[in-house]
Amino acid sequence: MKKTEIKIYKEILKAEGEWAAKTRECLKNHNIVMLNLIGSPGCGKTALLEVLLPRMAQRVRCAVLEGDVETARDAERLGHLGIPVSQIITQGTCHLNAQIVNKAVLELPLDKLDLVFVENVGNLICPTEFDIGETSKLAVLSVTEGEDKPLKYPFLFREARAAVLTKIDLLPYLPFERAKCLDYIAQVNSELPVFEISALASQGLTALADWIYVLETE
Amino acid sequence: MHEFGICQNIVNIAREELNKLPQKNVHLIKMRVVVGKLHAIVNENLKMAYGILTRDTKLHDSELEIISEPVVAECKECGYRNQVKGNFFVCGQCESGMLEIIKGKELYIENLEVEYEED
Repeated sequence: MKKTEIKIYKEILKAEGEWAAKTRECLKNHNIVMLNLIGSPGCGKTALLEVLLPRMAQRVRCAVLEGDVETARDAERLGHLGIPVSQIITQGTCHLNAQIVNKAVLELPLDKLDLVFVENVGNLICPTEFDIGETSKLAVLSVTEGEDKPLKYPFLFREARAAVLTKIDLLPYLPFERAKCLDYIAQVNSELPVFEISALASQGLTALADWIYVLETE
Repeated sequence: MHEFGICQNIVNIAREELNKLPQKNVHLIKMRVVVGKLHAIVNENLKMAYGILTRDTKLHDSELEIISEPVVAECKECGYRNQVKGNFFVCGQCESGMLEIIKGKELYIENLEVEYEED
């Protein structure tokens, strides 16, 4: 037997990247912005969409791709809004992958849309790792979590274009140190805008919506 | 456990590359992957995933070598480059937070060490 070394220098996520590039190209051709919402289970991603969509749908044409490991419950929650919502069930996989998202995007009425929200599977690591062709990632963090999340998951807070701090109406009842959390975010990414919102109390939504309106396709 | 998804890609690429080789009875001994620290990959988890995903396949007794690359950033204001430690993304010289990551996002297979039958 003979031994040899073969240099290959192959990107490990090349196949994923190619699907993501196809989606990005398609969105660009239709002038559609796609936002990838990434946050822990229970951080309020669906609740955010429930209050943000009725507000934004008056100005821009929206659709939602709902990613979940199991069940179509989140898509059902948004079903009454009268906008296209499709549920992607990953069947155990902890993130949406670029190929599945590409298929789901192509099934949307692209000529009738300006903005697509993707609610990724609740998880701070895997969805950050896998590019799905989005215009921007949005990091969603709630005040019921630890304020040190940005330090524990720096890749998300580096990759995201903005962070949303949710459930701020609960701040008076929690030991969550808001200033510390904002400091941690700034420590990881000083250029990251942070929107502090409450879905229940309809707080802070205008600033977030205004920021989204001016995003442009890549 | 994003290591599993990443590892599935590693195994797929290794298989494709081995199939491309003209030599007969090619056997993978070792594969070297380079992983930037920003990916938050736990080496033990990646190796465990590799063991599971290659079980009962041609790659089953091959070794996965993982080279970890530190996170290095360049300051957009003063140009100073330094290693990011403790997730403190601040320039070590002027303390600006306007940094560009220039290392630490790597995720590629560098080489395959194979043995094969001589003609």
